[in-house]
Amino acid sequence: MLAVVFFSVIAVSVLIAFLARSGLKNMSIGDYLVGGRSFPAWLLYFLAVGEIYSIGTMIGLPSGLYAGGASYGIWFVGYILMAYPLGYFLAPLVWRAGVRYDAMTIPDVFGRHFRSRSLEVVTALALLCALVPWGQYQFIGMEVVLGALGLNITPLQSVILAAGIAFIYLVVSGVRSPAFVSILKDSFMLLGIVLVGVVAVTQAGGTSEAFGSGEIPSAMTTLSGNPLVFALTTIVFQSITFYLGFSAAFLFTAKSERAIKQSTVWMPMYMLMYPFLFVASFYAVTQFPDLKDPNTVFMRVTTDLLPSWLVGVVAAGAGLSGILVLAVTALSIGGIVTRNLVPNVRPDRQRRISNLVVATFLVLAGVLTLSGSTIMLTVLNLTYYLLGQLVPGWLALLFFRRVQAWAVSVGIIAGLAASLVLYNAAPTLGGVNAGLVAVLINVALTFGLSALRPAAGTEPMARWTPTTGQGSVRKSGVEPKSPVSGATDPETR
Amino acid sequence: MIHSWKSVVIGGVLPIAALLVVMPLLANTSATVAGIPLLFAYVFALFPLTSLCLWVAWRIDEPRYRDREVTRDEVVPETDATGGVS
Repeated sequence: MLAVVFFSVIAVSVLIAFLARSGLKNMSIGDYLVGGRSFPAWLLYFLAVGEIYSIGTMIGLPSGLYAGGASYGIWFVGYILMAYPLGYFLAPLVWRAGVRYDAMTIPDVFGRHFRSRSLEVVTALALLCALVPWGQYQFIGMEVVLGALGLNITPLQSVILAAGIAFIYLVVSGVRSPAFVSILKDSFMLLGIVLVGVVAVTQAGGTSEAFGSGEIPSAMTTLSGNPLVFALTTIVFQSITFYLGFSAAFLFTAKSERAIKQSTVWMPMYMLMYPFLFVASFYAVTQFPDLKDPNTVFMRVTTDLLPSWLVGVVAAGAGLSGILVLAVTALSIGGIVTRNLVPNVRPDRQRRISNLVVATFLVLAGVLTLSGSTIMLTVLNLTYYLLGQLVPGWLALLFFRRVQAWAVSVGIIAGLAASLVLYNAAPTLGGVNAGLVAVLINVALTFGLSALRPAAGTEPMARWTPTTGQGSVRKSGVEPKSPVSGATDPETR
Repeated sequence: MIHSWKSVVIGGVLPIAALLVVMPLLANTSATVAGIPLLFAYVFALFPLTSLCLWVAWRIDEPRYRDREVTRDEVVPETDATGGVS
């Protein structure tokens, strides 16, 4: 029964992917990668939450709380929460950079703003490095979910299944599929999380009992010393990286700055599902204190508390969230390779090559997943260490005029190297997040080297005014004398 | 870029300070609110409060967007030295 429900929902999602294509006969590479930059606020909201609340939410957070205590729980919800106020102000600038350079990928923006092909390539390679552990993070989650279906699915089969469905989504409708499928995924995911949380509180006999009143060590519910420093520095570092490293690609799908700001306002409300996940995690701490693999915490609680068919519903929500993110990530990677690493490909061939790259990425991340397992949130930290190295470059192009392209490249390379060394050596650093340390090295190089030999400079995004229509390009930085275009869109009102 | 300091303070400074400054002050106590450890209860309360702050900021910013909204189709992209827009 469990497996029937699970696979029925997955089948419906594939159907939705086909429907998402309706009306589009010949999909251009722009439709494929950024949905023709036409997404209104509501669709952008679903694509964004589809990507943000990935399988890490259902599988990773409970595992982190279970194994790492309050510090992991607080940094996980804290960085997402703080990302929204930052994104409300920064994300419109990122979108502007996208339209200014007609960009579909982050390396498009970096290469064109700094007028440097080598920086474009460095940025592209940095992104590829960072997105592989992110893909691995989704695959680990999928293994856990499929493992709970009771079908004796091997890890290899689960990786193939997840990769196969993600590939189908993309081939059918490009970025439109994940956007529309995420509506289905959100319904199941929210339903699943709330159900498990409510049943856990009822079973425990109240919230106080659910949080293990007095029975569990205080490190599970309080923070001080190094864990507090780790939580705070991780929140700061990851929340900035969130919009500048991670989300740029989905921001490019928005039709306007207005759509972005409007969709950000309500994002934190979505987080109201987290209290239910906390309850489920604490239920596991008291009921199953000796789980061998912490990644299985949430599914273990679910199978313990809910009837079989409902476990199928919950597993479907978790499974869809993993597949969705795999699809969006594979799509970004396909775009990066075809546009930035192997450019000058005829537009009609770009999509075909993109599909090939997507398949290669899915196989690579899958193989890495099979070669070893670890606590999911640690893999998430690594993803952010690497992605965070794009932040200094973004800050330069958003706010500073005289930064050198080669200094940005040097900063990125040094930052990536420092991240990998710190990740493997794992020094305590007084609790400070290692990614933050690597980014500070990157900032010192990017801005320090540029101060020694300032560049001629390009108008930063914060000072650039969009130029509209009429055939002539207004010089950057000149404020328009009259309001630009009276056009407003009723859909985004 | 910044058109209203009021919106920056309400939508940005306030929710970020509530998390980074106030949260650590409540982090090391065994007090509970309705059975939920205070640290968690406080962070949970910040979810809707952050949306509220952003909503107020949007009320301040919205009229500007109503008059001067630019959509992607209206913007002329810049070409550049690396071969222009592909």
